[in-house]
Amino acid sequence: MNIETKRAAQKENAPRSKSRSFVDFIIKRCHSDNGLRAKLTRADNPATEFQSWETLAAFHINLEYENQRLPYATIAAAIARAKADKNGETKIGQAIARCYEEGNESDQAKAKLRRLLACDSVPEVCRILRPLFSLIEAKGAGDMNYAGLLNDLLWFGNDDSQMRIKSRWAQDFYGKPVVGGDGDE
Amino acid sequence: MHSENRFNLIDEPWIPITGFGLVSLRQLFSQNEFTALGGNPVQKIALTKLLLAITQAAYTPEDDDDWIALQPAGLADKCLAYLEKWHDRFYLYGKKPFLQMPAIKKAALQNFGAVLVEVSTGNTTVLTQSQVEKDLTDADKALLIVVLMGFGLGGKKTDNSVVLSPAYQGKFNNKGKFSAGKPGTSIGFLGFLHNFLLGKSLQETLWINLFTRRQILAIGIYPKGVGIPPWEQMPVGECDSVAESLKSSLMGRLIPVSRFVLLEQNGLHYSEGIAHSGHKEGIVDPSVSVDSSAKTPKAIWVDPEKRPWRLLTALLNFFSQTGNKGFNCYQLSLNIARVMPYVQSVNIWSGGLRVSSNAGEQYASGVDDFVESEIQIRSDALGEQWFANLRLEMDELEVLSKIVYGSTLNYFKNQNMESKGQAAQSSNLFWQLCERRFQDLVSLCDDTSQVRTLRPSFAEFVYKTYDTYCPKGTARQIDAWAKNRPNLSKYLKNTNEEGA
Repeated sequence: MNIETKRAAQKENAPRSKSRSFVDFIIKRCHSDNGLRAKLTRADNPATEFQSWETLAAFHINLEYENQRLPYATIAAAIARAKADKNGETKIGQAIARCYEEGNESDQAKAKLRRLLACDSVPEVCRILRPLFSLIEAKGAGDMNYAGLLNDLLWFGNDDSQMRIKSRWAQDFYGKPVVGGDGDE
Repeated sequence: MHSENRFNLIDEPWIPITGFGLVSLRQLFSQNEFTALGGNPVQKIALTKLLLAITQAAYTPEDDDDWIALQPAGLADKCLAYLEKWHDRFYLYGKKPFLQMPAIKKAALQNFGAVLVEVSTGNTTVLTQSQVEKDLTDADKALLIVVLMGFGLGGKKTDNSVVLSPAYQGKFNNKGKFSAGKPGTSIGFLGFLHNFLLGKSLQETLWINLFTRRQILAIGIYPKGVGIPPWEQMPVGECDSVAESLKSSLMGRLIPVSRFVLLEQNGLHYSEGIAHSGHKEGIVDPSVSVDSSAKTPKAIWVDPEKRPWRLLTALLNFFSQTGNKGFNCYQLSLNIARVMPYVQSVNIWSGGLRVSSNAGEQYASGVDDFVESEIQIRSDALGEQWFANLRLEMDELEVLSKIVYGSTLNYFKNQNMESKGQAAQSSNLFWQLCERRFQDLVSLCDDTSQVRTLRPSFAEFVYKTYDTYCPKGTARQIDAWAKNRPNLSKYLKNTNEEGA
């Protein structure tokens, strides 16, 4: 168990600092430069995403590789639209539950979660997340943990991680503690 | 065939020993490098009882001081002397064949497969090669005789039309026709669970399990004390004076002679023997655990689904403060305290055979099986504190198994599927995983601060079992999986506080 947590931490640590610094960077730039913020809000639309490429390239993101470009673009757009002040603590599963009055009992919430869990590729999940962000923003479900979500999306392309990520989202939705035995080892 | 003495059990090898092969009685008592008996659990129990009968007959110590002075070596010497004295009673074939009744020749001949549990005879389907009847050697036949004394299965295989004691009605039912044979005394209705203490060597094992005269008096249910072993004096019928004294002595529980047999070349004459009282009447084998506090005494039966280590708290109930209520097994309760100062660790062996019963016929079917397990406890750890901790942890494990069952059941229910089968299997898997760490738990139970450190492992087993039986492939499955995942924060709460 110790070796596993260390390995997981190593896996998470390298990209996490990059994800975290990306998120902080975007938040800072959005505050200072309104024009840039406007361009970034269009980053998740295939027709207009070229406007954000400059910013992404500055962060040494490989634009040709879809599985890298799309997560960064999606998160950047979400931050820009929500005018986020900081990287919050709410995870995506919790956020979906909080959008509805009955929380994780609500059928609509469950339907949204299921659609999210049914995704099996990075482009699909980024596409599904877009309206979810608007919903979360509209319902005021709390400050999202953009860095964590970005991490999840970057690893989504890998089959093993995908299963683990989806399990974690579902567990967050139901408010279960994600301790001991993530299970698929 | 019957007039000449052949195959003496003292000289010929017939007792299976693990890691060695077959040994004779003389070898067993003169060489002390043998560690344990071989064979299936029923054979082990029957052999242990026979060896204990020989040792009790050779020398029963007066009290504990006498017992300590005896030591395994002293006991072995006394047994060798005893066997020399009664050498002519141990011939398997002859004028006084060992544990057999020449008078029962009148009963019908039964082939050997009929009295062996694992062999298919008659209409029973043969599914594997091991079920086919094989030829038995003399050594096999000797072992069979010893087993049949107490473990003869009830049913129509016994020929009850032959009654040796005049005016004995026990073999007839109330219509006046002869009834099916009653189950052997050591096996009971469903299969008693027998428990013994083990030592480092076979001779030490026998010494540890030996009862003193004072102990037999204290047990109280054997008014005739040790009694006379059957080979010194065989009963003439089912209810003569010898049979009656066997019924009320310790010897009668060790070698019950529940079956009258006589070996032939290709079969045996087989009929019901002495009918002893059962646990419901208050008489019990010292190796069987019975709860006499209830209105009708209850015994612990063999349960292949519930391995004996799970019954440890019931078997060792005498350690708790409420010692007199609940289950009691004399073999354990009287002898553990006595042996603790002399050995580094106490080993408890439990085992038996589970059988099904139908209209008086006993057989092994379905999940019936042999069961045996061995648990080692450090002598300096045994005590009230240890027992209390063990009981607490076992109760918590029961709760965990219920949680596993419930979570699996709900997982399938969420997807509108019936699933009692999977839930039961997941509970079973959980117990199998726990069994691997059980010895560690037992070793740690005397130290209250350490005992909680095993809880994360058991929690891990819960998650593992849940994940094995509840797949999370599709979105619906992931949803149901996450929703019903067991929450063990309460179980693990104290670990975080104390484990650091």
